[in-house]
Amino acid sequence: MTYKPRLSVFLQAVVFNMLFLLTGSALHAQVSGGVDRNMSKMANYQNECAIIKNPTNKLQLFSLCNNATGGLFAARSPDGGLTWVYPDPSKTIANGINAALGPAACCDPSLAWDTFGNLFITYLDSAVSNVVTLLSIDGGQTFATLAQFGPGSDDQPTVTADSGQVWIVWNQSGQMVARGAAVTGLGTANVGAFGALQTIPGTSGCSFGDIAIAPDGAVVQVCESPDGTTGPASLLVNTKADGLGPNPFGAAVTATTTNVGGFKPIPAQSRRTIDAEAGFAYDRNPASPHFGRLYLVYTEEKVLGNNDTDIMVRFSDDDGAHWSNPPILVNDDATTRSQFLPRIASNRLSGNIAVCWHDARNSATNTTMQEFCSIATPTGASPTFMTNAQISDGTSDGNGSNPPVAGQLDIQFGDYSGLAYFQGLAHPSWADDSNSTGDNPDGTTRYDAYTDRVTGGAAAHEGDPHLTTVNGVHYDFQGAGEFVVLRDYGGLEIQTRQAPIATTFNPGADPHDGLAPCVSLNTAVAAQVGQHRVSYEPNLSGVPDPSGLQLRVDGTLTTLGPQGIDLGDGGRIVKSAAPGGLEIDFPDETAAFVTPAWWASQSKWYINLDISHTPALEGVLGVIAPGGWLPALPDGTPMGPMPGPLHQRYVDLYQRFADAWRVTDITSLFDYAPGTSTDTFTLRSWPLEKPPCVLPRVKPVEPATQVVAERACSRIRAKNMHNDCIFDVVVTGNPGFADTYNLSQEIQVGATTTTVTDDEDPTQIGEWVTFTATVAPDGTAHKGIPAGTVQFTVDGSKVGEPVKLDSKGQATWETSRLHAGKHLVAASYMPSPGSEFLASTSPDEIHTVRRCPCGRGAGGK
Amino acid sequence: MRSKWAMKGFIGCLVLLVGVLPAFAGDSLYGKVTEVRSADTVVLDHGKGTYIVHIIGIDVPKEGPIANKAKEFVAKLVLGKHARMRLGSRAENGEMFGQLFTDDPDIGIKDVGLELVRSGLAQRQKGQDYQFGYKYGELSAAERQAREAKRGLWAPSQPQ
Repeated sequence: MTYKPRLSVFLQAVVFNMLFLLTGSALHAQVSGGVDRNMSKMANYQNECAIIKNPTNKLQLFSLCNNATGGLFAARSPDGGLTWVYPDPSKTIANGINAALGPAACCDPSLAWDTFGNLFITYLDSAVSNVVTLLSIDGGQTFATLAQFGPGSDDQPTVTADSGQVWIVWNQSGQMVARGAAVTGLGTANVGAFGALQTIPGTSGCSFGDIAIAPDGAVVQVCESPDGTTGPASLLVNTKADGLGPNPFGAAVTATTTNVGGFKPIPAQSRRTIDAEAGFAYDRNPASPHFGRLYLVYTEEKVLGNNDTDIMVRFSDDDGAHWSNPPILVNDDATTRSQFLPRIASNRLSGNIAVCWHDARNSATNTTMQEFCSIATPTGASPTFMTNAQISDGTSDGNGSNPPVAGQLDIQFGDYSGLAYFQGLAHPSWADDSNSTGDNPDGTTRYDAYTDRVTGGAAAHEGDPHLTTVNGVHYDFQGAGEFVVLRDYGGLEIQTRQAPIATTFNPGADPHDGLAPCVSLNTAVAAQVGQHRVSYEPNLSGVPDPSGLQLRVDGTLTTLGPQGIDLGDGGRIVKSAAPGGLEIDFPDETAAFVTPAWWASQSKWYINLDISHTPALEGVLGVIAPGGWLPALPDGTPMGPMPGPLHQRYVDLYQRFADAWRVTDITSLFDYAPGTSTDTFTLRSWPLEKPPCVLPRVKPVEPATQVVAERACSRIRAKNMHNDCIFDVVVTGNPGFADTYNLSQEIQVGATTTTVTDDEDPTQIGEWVTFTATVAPDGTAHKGIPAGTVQFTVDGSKVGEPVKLDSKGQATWETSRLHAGKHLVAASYMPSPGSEFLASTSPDEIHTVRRCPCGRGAGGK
Repeated sequence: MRSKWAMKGFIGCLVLLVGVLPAFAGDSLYGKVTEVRSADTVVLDHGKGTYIVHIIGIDVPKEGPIANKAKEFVAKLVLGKHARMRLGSRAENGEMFGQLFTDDPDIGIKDVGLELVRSGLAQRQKGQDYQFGYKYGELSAAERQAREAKRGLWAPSQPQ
């Protein structure tokens, strides 16, 4: 059979255009959740959850919820929300039984965790008349009573801590009041006496509030007035500009009005009702373009009484004195159903903001909800929220305890939900009666406290290069040179080098933009990982070297051993499951998988780059705003809607956009041979708008037939990747692309994360300590629990035999025989035969063993 | 006549249905009590309107000397005074079910429902205390006190 390029080009263009019509350029969720975690697994109901993350340790979380029976449900996670343990076997604190767990609680928990490590816990006591604040300095294992205000006609306390201050705001006899204290370090001794009660002016009949501390120390509160109606109402903001200084809170400013009053019934929360649930979050990242911006989230109902409630955000750049207008609509549904109980949080390292809420968009009767979230970057004049993502795996019924049993109803979803957001992971918490986890003792009749790990998007930079942005838009980017593919204001940056490829034709237009230019290939990658610069590129000499790519850390040629390279702050480089592949873990939870392959006929290395759960939203893989067709420019300027004429699209994409994201001599993270620079690899005229794709002194590659490509790519299941694979094999004539895609596919589906935690640290010589390894899917493509074994290591040496994972993906190893000193404990996961999951190795868990002062003998349990 | 009975039945069912809802955790609404309709039903003026508030977790006699005494007891605590309703739930007709607290400098802060039970002027509703927002058996303890002291409903001889 003779290959007929011209006919093939035509037919393939038809195929690609049909695919374009079928797939369009629909946005997919950039934000995604993992497997829901049932934190409480308790009888009766737990709801109105607060959740907080240690700003100095991204693995530590603490959650506190109302509990139907005694006390408050309390749990902490030592591994970033994968598993939850309890400070007391009752799973409660402030339970009226054990005084060491705080005075007996009624309800309304609120949490704050400052950068000294102080965990503040505020709640309403059992008499419903005292505001109690506990302090934990060990991440929620033990507690001391810090302050108790009352008795009074008190309700709805909220605590916040930052910038050397801790503040509590609550409602007292219908008026908002607050007290603040200075904080100079860890522990009770470093928390000053709380100042006099501050009565906040203009807030009589105002409630359901929040409080925040600005980076400059100003204190701002918001409440809803009047609080007793179904709406309309106003959200009033008062600012205390001098923080703990002598001046009072300023006069109330109306940030916005809302048609959602303090006791508004909606079908999904008909009895308990909802309020606007105003909440604050400050941008605390000094590198953010909007450092110090205050965001306000609230619930609105555009038409009073129609139950089509929406989640809105406004912002203030002057600590609440003035507010943006119009408000930003966060939910993107096209329904007239309810969104309610929003929560907002800011990632203090990047300035990104996350909003999560209860959403009834999928309920025909508007009575059930799923938890939804979205994330926005601070770039640009105002935030643009990503496509909303459903986070909860199940659907919860607003009736909660329906059908009622012996009158045991509940307060439905409660008055609020929780959200923590730090270092790339957001953790919403909500009352859930779907029993999607299968471990709610009450089945679907009572709420348990649920959470999830919400990550940024999976992004990909594969083949010729076909890009998938962090919000799931698929487009081709064939520029030649070095580009910023992803970055954020938290220090993460990933760059790639793209080399032009001489070909004889282009097999079809990009379904996203209809362009069919010449092609290029990704040949090198570089990244800023915490304090370190990492590059993985072909031999700097320029001489083709099939032995492998060269890894450099801070410019030093490095060989990657089995333990990988620890870059500190959670950053590391380890081998991936692919031959010659790397997994680069960033401190902000971003994982980048680099999968190289050698193209023998062209003596070239090429690279697939797959990125998972990244909070970064900028770069050529950055988020594309609704209505746009490309990510924004580096200064946040949107590229706007796609131009009509194809040539204008080409100019916009490969001149304006590509040039804006090129690295410079100053910003480049690559290593270069003497006499070379980023200019050496830059070819601004590439890609040519249409074939022939000629390069000086380079013989164009011979294409493959569609049949050959189809056969080679038959293993590739994901539609976009399958089409990309066929395109690449056809245009380059290299079936090897299919193997690389297959490796990327396996990584996207099966990559795992292994973490190790200890049950106590430090321990003494002879004391037993239990290490728990938890293996979880790395991305969201796989919702299963990994099976197989883990091999524990101590200081790099294997200890014991491999331990089989249980049904939760966990395995434990106990010992009492560690010597005094610091030990690095890790675990390597080995999947079961036939499993889709891939091997992974945990970061080192540092465990300290102290010399025993008490004369206890070693061993013996 | 028929429709009047139907209405009474509907209201009775409504009270039965929502009267058992717990007010365990909730939002407070502050205001002044402008009317005491019965020992467990008051009108609260919150400044922008009024709500009919039913006290949850208790059963009070609907008529007779104890009912009158209970109503007087509640009026003495809250009528014309500042009070706080802690919401349990809201009925479709807009009436509220929750705990009612005094908020008066002379009286202090008292849970009106608990005080009624403690005085023997009301019984705790059937069910577990926590179902009505009393997580630590407060209703049961108050009723036990009233029984032991033989107050009101628990007196050997009821007033005629």
